[in-house]
Amino acid sequence: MQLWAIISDTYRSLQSRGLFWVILCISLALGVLFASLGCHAEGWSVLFGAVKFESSFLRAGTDWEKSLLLNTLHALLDNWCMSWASLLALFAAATIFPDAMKPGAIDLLLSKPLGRGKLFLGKYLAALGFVAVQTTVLVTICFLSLWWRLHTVYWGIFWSVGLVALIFSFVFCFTTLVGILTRSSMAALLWSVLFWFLLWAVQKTEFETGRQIFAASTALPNEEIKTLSGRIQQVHHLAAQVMTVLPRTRQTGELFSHVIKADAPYSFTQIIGQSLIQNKSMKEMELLPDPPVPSVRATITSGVIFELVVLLLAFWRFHTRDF
Amino acid sequence: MDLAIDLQNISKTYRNGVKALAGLNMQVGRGEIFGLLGPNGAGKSTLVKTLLRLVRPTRCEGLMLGRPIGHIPTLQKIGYLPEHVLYAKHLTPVDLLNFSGRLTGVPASVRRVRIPELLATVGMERWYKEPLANFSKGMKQRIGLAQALMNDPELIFLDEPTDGVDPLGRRDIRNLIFALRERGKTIFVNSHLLAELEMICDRVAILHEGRVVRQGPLKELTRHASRYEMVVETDVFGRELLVSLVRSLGGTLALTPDGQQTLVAIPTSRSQVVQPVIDEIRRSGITIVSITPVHQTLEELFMDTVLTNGKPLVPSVQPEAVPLR
Repeated sequence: MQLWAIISDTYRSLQSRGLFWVILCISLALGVLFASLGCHAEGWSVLFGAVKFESSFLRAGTDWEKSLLLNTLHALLDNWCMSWASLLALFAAATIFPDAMKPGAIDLLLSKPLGRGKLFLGKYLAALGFVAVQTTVLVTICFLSLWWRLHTVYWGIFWSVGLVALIFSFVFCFTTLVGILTRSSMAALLWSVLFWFLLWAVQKTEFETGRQIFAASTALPNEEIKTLSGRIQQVHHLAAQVMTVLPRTRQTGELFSHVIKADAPYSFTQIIGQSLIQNKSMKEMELLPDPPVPSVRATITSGVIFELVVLLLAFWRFHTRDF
Repeated sequence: MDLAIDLQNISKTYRNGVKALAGLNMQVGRGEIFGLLGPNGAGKSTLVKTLLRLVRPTRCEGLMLGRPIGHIPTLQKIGYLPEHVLYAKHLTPVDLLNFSGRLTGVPASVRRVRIPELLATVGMERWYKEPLANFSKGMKQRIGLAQALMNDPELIFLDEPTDGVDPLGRRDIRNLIFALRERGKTIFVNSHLLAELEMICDRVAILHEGRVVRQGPLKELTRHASRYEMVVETDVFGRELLVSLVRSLGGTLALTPDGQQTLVAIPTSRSQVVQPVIDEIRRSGITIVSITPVHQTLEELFMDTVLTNGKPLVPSVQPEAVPLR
């Protein structure tokens, strides 16, 4: 009862903030927009048929329709839930621990027969619950929409709820640590955004340099790539070293795209058509194959280990602190 | 005495080297109203927070409700009203009491009955749906008191319970504290309002520099410095007689502020001791204007104790009086 009381109270506190409703409204709007996307006998349409486009291949009942919907769902989750919605959720959730540790608030909590561990866990889980609920709203609408449009039940897309919460937790554990150390919501938020940016920058560097090195090693007919300088290898090595101790948010997020790609016969690029790709550099990029990535287990395990270590540090400080 | 709190040698030194508690010993009996006094920085808050495990003691030997300090399940029998209570803005009084009840393991069926009762007890039943963010300091204190009583505790810690409360509210809180004592609850009050404490406390402890410098029943502590004060009118010859008479009893003489009369202070709480003095004064033709038995106030006790750091008290005299030559 106590743990649930802490979780529900913290969740209600997050819910009372405007940001909760902003994220929810955007999620709902995106969900409805997704539901309005569909194909008909002569092509495809948005806004429930209000705006129609003719197409020779993108029509109802085809693999192209299935691909369009699943790829759009992936884009929604990747670009909204795993990025902007999580960032907005971080703005709201960064206050959880600093607010709870304010004099007068922590007194009320710790004077009850409640262990500090339970309090810590309850607050932490409430933040993850906040993200999970927001994602569930969008995913449920998408799930029903896919059922309606494709007459197929895609239970697998609910994995994305856990995945989004997991990626969020990789950053939020750091927010928790800074929040407990500084007791400042602002410091927790700023450091977390910086940390998130660091994760993105290092992973991007590792990926791009890795792709070039991999392309060179597979002897693609691109002279420019073959003459790789030693510096790229050094940068790649350094980024890879750094990523051994940091959570791989990018690759964790891509776990969901593997599920989607398995069910979607065509990619977005194929749907749009090669003729639309005019940019030369984009063509070259397409030539570069993706480098091998760590296994699913390795990706998740390293992230979870990082999270546990950071949480242990945060809890140790929370546990030993005088209020 | 059956003890609710029995503390032996509690110490707390913060990381910055500040010694907040220096081997403190204190006993609080069950079913009494106990007052904790002390100047700022004496360690009052640290002591209460140590008992409620908000602060980790450097050294702690003692029992609270028969269990070691820090025993989490014991907190189920304890209520606490912090000094500067801070509520989440989204909560209403009902939400807060529900939350408090859930944390202390009060079943939902009991909460449903107890919440309206408690709101009525603290006079907040009309505002049960209002967000706490809209409440005044006094209203927040009343709600804080209600949440402290949600689990029907045996021991209640009240930190400045009447802070920000209007005079009527103070009277209500005093009456509530008395009612709680009648029900066998132990109430531990930490307050700067000495007059308030004097009205309600059975026993007090005075903290100074992290130690208890005085503790005991309030009446006993203030009895030592009780006195009879007489205002008399006399001439120079009568005054000489008075000097020898009063000094033989360990008393003091001073002129009243207007310089027209003489104030005689005889350190005793027993009226029999004063009778021969009165007889002698009347026999000498000196006019007695007034005789007043004066008990030391808690404030005087506190000031004397803090200023002398707990050393034996010197009977106090009116500070504004001009010494007699």
